[in-house]
Formats: sequence, structure tokens, C-alpha cells
Amino acid sequence: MKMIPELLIIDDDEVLLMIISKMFKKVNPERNLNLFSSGKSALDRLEELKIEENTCFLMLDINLKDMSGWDFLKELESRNDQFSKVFLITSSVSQNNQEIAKKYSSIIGFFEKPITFDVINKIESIIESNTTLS
Amino acid sequence: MKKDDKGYHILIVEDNFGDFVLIEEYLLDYILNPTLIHARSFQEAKLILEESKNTFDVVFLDLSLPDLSGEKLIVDTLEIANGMPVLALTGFSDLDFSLKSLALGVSDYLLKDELTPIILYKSIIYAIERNRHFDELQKSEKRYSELFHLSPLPMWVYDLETLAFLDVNQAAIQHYGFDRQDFLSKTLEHIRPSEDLPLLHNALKAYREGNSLYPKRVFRHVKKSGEIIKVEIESSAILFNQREAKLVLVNDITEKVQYIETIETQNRTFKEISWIQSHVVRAPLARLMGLVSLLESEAIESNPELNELLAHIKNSSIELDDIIRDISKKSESISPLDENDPRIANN
Repeated sequence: MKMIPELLIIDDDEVLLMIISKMFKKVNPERNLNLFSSGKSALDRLEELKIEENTCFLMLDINLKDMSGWDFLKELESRNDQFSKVFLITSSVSQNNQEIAKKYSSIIGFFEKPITFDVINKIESIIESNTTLS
Repeated sequence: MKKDDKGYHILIVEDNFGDFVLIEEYLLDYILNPTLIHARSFQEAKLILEESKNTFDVVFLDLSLPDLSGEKLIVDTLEIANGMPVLALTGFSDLDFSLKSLALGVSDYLLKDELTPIILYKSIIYAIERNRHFDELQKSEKRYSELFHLSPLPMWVYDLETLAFLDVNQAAIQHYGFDRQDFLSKTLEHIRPSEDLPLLHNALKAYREGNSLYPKRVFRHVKKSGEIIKVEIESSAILFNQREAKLVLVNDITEKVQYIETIETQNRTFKEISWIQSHVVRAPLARLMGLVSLLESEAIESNPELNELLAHIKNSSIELDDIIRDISKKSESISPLDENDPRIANN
């Protein structure tokens, strides 16, 4: 049986978490979603996943309440996490973030809010292609 | 031999007629057509000189006249000669006195017994040339002195060792509020705020060890009123009355600095506002747009009227988003001022 990788959605905006999960239900009801409103709780989950050595995907908002997305990514790097693939999500329209994002090899996508069906479809297809490759 | 044909005007102050004739003869050997005026006493010479208004090229002065002689004669004659070269003539060889008279300002000291036409001629030519150079030097010194005293920017000279002010110009007096006497009794330490004195001493210590005196050229100074100003300094080394000194030009940039600081503060506020636009305002808007996207997918089948309303909400949110992007883009093009610029340094 094909292993469906977990998708962690990390955003402190509860409404947005709801929107995203509803959208995924329409696009791919099979998608294995896990919602987090804080960076800390998501990092805890990743710790567990790392032990299982399963590839997982993250939709990570740059502005979290308990830490910035960059701190989150640095924490992943310090853990030497090879299994997390990150879609970076930002509500900012500043160009800087996109430049900084290039420094992290774990980032496989960069999206500006709003999250629309277009974005969900793109993410879905990237996850698909990454999963078949591995 | 071709004689010098310049029209020399020469005053000969000599009570001995024989000596006068001798000098006249000698002069005519080398000079074609001199105008010679003969005065027989100091009083006569004085009258002639006072009326002449500097028309003589040179004055011969016998040092023993019936009404005046010696040092007093020299001093008084030089005073009324008003810069004209004076050549002393004497019958006695007195080395000490000859040196003394040169020190008093006599251009040459000639012994009558040793006079020859060529010695006399040479002495005249040399005295005139020397005088001309001296005159130019004085004019140039005067020009430089005016440059200092009439400068619209405060300037001063201070002693590198004692830090005492050796000279200050009018602009400095006006700007700092100390009168001239007051200024000249002070040192650099008096115009620096006391908390900045270590900076001054360190700078001077470094200078004495061979480093440049002003790596940073912006300082704080205190006026007489106690007001602290920010100044930009230009300085150069000079020798002032045999003292190692610095010539300083001061440019008060207090207002300029305040102006720049105000702009900087405004800029920071402006950036904050744009950050709020880009991040904070946009977050709920993005949420709203996400909701619209979700609602669209629900509404398609059910209700066309609702669909139309949704389209309006969507367009409005896109419009708002465009405005925010526009503001954000504009604010990103504001670059901060160079923080290394000494003019915006904090002290």
C-alpha cells in the first residue's frame, strides 16, 4: 500500500486553518492533514515523525505567534531534519522573504496569501510529484 | 660702462658738505640721473620726509648729526621714513653698534672710509630689492590674516601642547559668545562638554603617538551660554609665534544634524506603517480572500444570485490587495541613510 505522507499546516490563524482543511477536503479528501496553531506543537510532532523516518510536508506561515517561520526552519536545520519539505506561506508582499527563503534547502515552495484553490492545487501537485519520486 | 638710468630719488642726510660731495660723486659713477636731495640736520630731513610722502627710493643717514645722533637718530628717522630703506653712514667702525642698528631696522651700515662707488651702488640696489620683497611679504601676511579674521566661519589657532587659544576670529567670538580676552584665556577643554573630555585627551594622545588627530571630525562644543552644538572641524598644523599649533575651521552643523535626525525618525515611522500595511493589514484581507475562494466553490451549483455577490466581494478584496501591494512596493524603495555618516552620529 502506498504510504500517504502527512501534511502539517502551521498557522496561528485558526480561521485560515479551517479554510485550508476545507479546501483540501474538496481537492483531495485522502490528504493526511495535521493542523497546528503554534510552531512549538508542530516541532514536537516533527520530532516523532523523524523517528519514523517518513517524509512529511509542511505549510508554514512565516509569522507565528510563538516564533517566526525562520526560527522554525533554523530549528529544523539544527536537528538535521532531512524528511521535512516546506511550503513557506506569507501574508506579506515584501520581496525580502523570497530572497531569504532561497537559503533553506528544505523549502520547496513559496506562496503568498491568500490561500485559494489555485494554491492548494499547486501544493497538491508538488506533493504528488515529490512522493512518486521518493 | 652703461649707467643705471632709473630715476632714483635719494635723500642724503649729512652735515659734512665734503662727505655729501663725495657720496654724490660716487653715486653719479653708476647712476645716470639721480635726484639727490641734501639735508644737513635731522630736523631738515624730518621736514623733507614728512612732505615727500614716500617718494624716496632710499635714505642715506649720517649717524652723527648736530641735532641728533646714534640710536635715537636711527629710531626717529626710521619712524618718519615709514618703510623707506635707510642706509646708515658712519665714520667709526663699531661692530656692536652696526649690528644693533641693523636690528633696529637700518638696511645697511656703511663705513665712510671704506666707501667706493660700487659698494654704494650695490648697497642701494640691495636695499631697494630687499624692501620690495619685504613689502610683498607683509602684504601677503596681511592677506592671510584677513582671511582668518574676516572669515564668516569661526576659526582659531590653538597651542598643541597647552591647548590654549592663541588667536580667534570675529566669527568665533560671535558664535561662541566669549569676548576676545575671554577666549584667549581659555583652552580647548573649556569649549568641550565635560563628558567629552576623555575623547579630547585620547585624540591628543593618539596624535602625539603619530596618528591623525581627527579620525572623526564631528564634535560637541559648548557655547558661553551653555548651549551644546555639534560642529564639523577642519584643521591644519601651523607654527604660530614659534609654537606648534593647529589652525581650526569650525562649521556648526547642529541644525543640519537635527534636521537629518527628524527625517530619519520620520522614515522609521514610515517604514513601520508600511510594515503594518504589508503584514498586519494584509493578514485579515488574505483570510477574507481565502474564504471567498472557498465560498465560490460551494456556491457555484446552488445560487447564482449569491454567486454574483461573491464576485463583488472578491473584486473588492482584490482591489484592496492591489492598493496594499502598491504601498508596500513604494515603501521598500525608501533606503535608510548611511549610518556611518558622521553627521548623524549620536554624539
